[in-house]
Order: sequence, then structure tokens, then C-alpha cells
Amino acid sequence: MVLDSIKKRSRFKKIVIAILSVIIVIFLLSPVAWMIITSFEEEDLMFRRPPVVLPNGPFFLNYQFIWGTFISEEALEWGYVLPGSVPGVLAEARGMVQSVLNSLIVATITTLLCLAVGLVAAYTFARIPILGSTKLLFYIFISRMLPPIAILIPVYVLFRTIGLLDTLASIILMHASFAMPLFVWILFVQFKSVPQSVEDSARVDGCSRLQVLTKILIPIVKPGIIAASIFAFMMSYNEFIFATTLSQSAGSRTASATVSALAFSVGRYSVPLIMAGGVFAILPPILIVLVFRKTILEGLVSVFRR
Amino acid sequence: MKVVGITLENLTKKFGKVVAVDHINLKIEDGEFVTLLGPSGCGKTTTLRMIAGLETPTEGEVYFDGKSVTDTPPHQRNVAMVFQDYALYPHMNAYDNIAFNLRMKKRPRDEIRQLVKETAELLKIEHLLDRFPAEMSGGEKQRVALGRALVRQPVVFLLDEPLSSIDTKLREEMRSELIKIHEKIKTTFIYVTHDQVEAMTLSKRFAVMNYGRITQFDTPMNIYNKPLNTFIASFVGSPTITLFTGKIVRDPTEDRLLFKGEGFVYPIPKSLKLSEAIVGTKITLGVRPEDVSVSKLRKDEGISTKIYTREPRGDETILSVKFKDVLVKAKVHPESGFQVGEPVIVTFKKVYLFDENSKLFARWQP
Repeated sequence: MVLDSIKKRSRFKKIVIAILSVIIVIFLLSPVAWMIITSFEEEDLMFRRPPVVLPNGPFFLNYQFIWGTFISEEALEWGYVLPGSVPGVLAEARGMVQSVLNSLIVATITTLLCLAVGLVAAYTFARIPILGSTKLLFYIFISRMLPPIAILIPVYVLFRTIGLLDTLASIILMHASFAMPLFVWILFVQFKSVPQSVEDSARVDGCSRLQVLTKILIPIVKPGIIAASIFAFMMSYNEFIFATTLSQSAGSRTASATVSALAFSVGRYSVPLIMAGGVFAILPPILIVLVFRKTILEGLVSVFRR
Repeated sequence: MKVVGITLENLTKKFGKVVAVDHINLKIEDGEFVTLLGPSGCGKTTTLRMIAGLETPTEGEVYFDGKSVTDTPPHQRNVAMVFQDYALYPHMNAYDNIAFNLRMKKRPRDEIRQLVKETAELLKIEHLLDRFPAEMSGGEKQRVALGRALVRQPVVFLLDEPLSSIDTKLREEMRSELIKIHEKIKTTFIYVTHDQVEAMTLSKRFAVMNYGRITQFDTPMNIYNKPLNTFIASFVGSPTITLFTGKIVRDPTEDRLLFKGEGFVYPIPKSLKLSEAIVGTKITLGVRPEDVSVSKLRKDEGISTKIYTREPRGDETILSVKFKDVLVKAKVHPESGFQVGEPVIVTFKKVYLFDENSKLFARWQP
């Protein structure tokens, strides 16, 4: 009797969880789906009422502009290049591949910087008592609370003064400084969760301090390191305000900046083309997540479990 | 295997203003099993950590076989340590945990396998070698932690309350196993505990620590029978010794001295020959539960009171009687048949006297 009711209740619970998950997935994915569909549409179909979904089959020209070097007569006819004006949209769209590469470079180096500096910092905060380190950690963390826009202009002036404006380096430096607090915080908590005695044990077992870090602590907190790296990578890949302000020419633009540049370029803009740019920009992170999905899940779970 | 004697000389550790270990001196012979016993916060673990090299002493020296190792980092001391919470490496299975030190020493693979196998057999943990710490019970983890220490053939074993987090039955088993292991490998063992039973049963000699100092270092029987002060007397022995505070006064009727406690007087035999200066000072009288005899017979000598509580333990029964506000525990035969509330006469078989500085100055058996 009791067992039955428990079973029944747990089944009810499962159904509720399933329904809620479906709702959440729909909520999260429908804009993406809309973006993908639109990216395959011809421009004038977009605003037709009642809406139609690809009545003539998918339209690949938007992607051709982004990927291909070839511009057909047809394309020109479709009006992406306005007669007599700068081929703005076209030029921006042609920068998409370079921008995604830029984004990947920026996000990767940002993550590596976080790993190099943040890992050691987190270990130090967690294990080596230095006067005032708790306060310092707190200040590092509250720097995350600062709205980025507040320091945009000073940062711009700073990079202009040191001559790094319009380089990937400036974007990387800014992203690293923004990703660092969360990175350090996550790993600080992870290192703290390893009992001191495990470290002592390793030291008695024949490890120097550095070996304790490389042979014991880092392997133990590896899932946390992965999770923190993903946060840093995603933050950098998605970041828009600094990327768009610090990059000036197409050569130093990141994907998010270019997608927005598509919208604000001179002349007229094409919504399906912007959507195609967006789809193109989200492909690399999706691929990364698909490839490393097991490790990433493990990492995220470990962070929230501790 | 190399066996090392350990000498601590004026060893001191301060954490800020707190003195954790206060100028202790201790000489541990080669291959001896020594226990550091004391309440939590008495500095016993800090002392052990200084021997391991995990803490740097503020003052003083640690010698292994007469050579100072005070500035040697832990990984170069070849000591093995077993921790209270086992401290197994969570990302390695039992085999790798045990083999870790040997791998750090770059021993050949076959030798490592052989040594781990032998150790696992000794501790009966062969079936656990593939398991990760998260998949083991407390007792199993304890054995693996012990194996990790044993496999190394260290010069000294340091054990920091290794049995405190496993259940009673297993603890008793592990206790006798530890004694066996020590007899077999004959390495120096230093064992830290707050459990006086472990100290009494395991070690040849043990040191009682309090407030960062060693108050007594002797064989279990000597410490039990001649506790230097009230702290040691009440720390060693279970149930604990009963302590009465009172005064020595002159018996107005007879030529002898009396101990005058709260609500009772107790005659002191003339044979003790106490100095006259003691009369009138504040002293403490102690009596262990097994030295308290309780009888229903009316006699002249003895203090009459009533049974307050009765705790049968199977092999013995612990009675308590009240002398005014002080509870006196007595160990009696389980079939002696006392009832709560029953009037009885209490006499002491063995008595300890501590002076106003809590130091033992006399003991006698009437």
C-alpha cells in the first residue's frame, strides 16, 4: 500500500519533471529555431502574414555570402548590394569567417590566461595564509559586480594610450580580467573542499609543494577546472560591449561584434543575413559542447555538488 | 628495515599568540610504540605534525637517530602518517593510493606490484584494491590508509587518531592488529589519541599532554598507579577517578590526621608520616571506582550513604553514591544486588592525595 503510493508519487514527480523540462527546452530553443529558419529564408518572406515557413524550400544564399568567395549575379539582383552605395552588408558578411576565428582565438587565449593565473591564485587563496588574503579575494569577487559599461570609456582611453586599440590583445586582456574573478572563485571553492589532510598526506608521501599541486590537487579538482574554463570560454566568446568597442576594423572583430555590425552597417540591412551570421557564430561553441559534453556535464555537476 | 629513535628537544610551536606546544622534551627509543594522550587542543597533533615536518617548529629541534631533521621537508624524512579522516586520494583507487609513494620513489613496476600485494595480504584488503575511496566503508578506508603507510617501510610511523572514526567493534579489532603489526615490523610508532584505553592497551610507554606540555611520560601501569597530578588521574581510567576537595585537619579525639571533605571525614594512617605543614592546606583526595567498596554491613569505619544510581554493564556494575554534592563511582560485582536508594557503607581500598598544586604527594592502601 505504502510502497504503491510512493511509487505512484515518484511516477507523478517524474511526469512533472519531464513536462517542465520540455517547457524549458522549448523556451530556450525556440528563438534559436526561429533564427535558423529565418536564416534560410528569402528576405521578403519574413514579414508575410500569416507567416509561412520556407514555402520554396531552404534558401542558401545568405550562407553563401558568409562562407563563399563567389558572388553571383543572382546575389546582386537580390539586392544585398545597393546600387551606388558602399556594399556595406556584403563587406561585413564577408568578414564573418575571420570574426569567428578571432572569437575562437580570443576565447582560447582568455581561457589559457585564466588557467595560468587563476589556478595558482585560487590555490594560494585556498591554502597559503597571507595577511589580508580573505579581503583581497572579496575585492576580486566584487569587481564582477561592476557594470561593464561603467568602465568602458576609461578602458577605451587606456588602450588607445598604450596603443593596443583595434588589436585582439586588448580584447583578450579585458576578457581575461572579466572572467578571472568567477574562475578564481570556482576553483577557490574547489580547492577548499579538498581536505587539508589529503595534501599533508601527499607531502608525507614524498611530494614537494609543486608536486602536491600537479599530482594530487589538480587531478582531484579537474572537473572544477573544466567547468571554470567553460565559463571563461563562453563568457569571452559571447562578450559584446568590449569586443565591439575595442575592435575598430573588420580584422580585429569578434563574432558577436560582426553580427551586430551586420545590423548597423551602412545602407540597408538584411534580417535573414544577420540570422545566418548568428547561426554561423554559434556553431563553434555548439560543436565544442557536443564533443566534450560528458566532461562538461561532469564538471558542472561537481561544481554545484560541492 | 631501518629503525630510528626520535628525540624532541625544547620543541615549541606558536600559532600567533597561541602556544600550541610548549617546550616539550621527549626521547623515544628505536622501535618503541609510544602514544601521546591528551584532550583536544593539548598540542598532541601539532607535535606529531612537527615530527612529520608538516609544521615548522617555532623553537626547538627534532632529531632522528641524533641527527637534526628540523629543517628537512616532509617528503625527505621518510616518515609515514595515518590521518584521522584517512586522507586517501579520492581520484585514485586503493591500489594506486598504496602504490603512490613507491611510484614517487620511482621503484620498478614489478617491485611495486609485489609490495602492494604483500601489504594488501597483511591487512586483508586484496578485494578492495580496485575500489575508489568513495566506494569503501570507514573501516575499509582505514585499512587502505594503513596499507599506504605500511608499504613504504618508513623509519617511523605517525598515527593521528587513526581509529577514532570507526565503530567500537572494528576499533578493538584494529587495536590488536596494530599491536601485531608493530611486533612484526618493529618500527618506531608514534600514536596520537584522546582515548585513554588506546593509550593504555597499545603502547609500551605513553605521554600525557595538557596545555602543550608533557605532564607525564611512563609505562601505562605506572601512570595509572602513580598519576603525577589530578589531571592525569582523571584522564586515565574509566569510569573516572572521584576527586574530593577538602582540608587536612587534626583529629580532636585521637592522635592522627583527618581528611575533611564536603560532608565526610576520612582518617589518614599514621604510617604516611605527613609533615605538619600540610595541616590546614587545601588538598584533593582521589579514589578510583575499583577502589571503592560498598557494603550493606554496619561497621564503624566508613561513610554511610545511599545508592544513587546503578549502571549494569554485564561484566561489572557501576554504582554511584553521593557524598553531599560529589558523585562517587564504585565498580562492584554484577551480582552484588544493590538497589537504588538502599543505605550502604562506603570504604576506600586505595586513596590518592594531591596537594594544593594538584600534585600527587601520598597514596596508601588501608
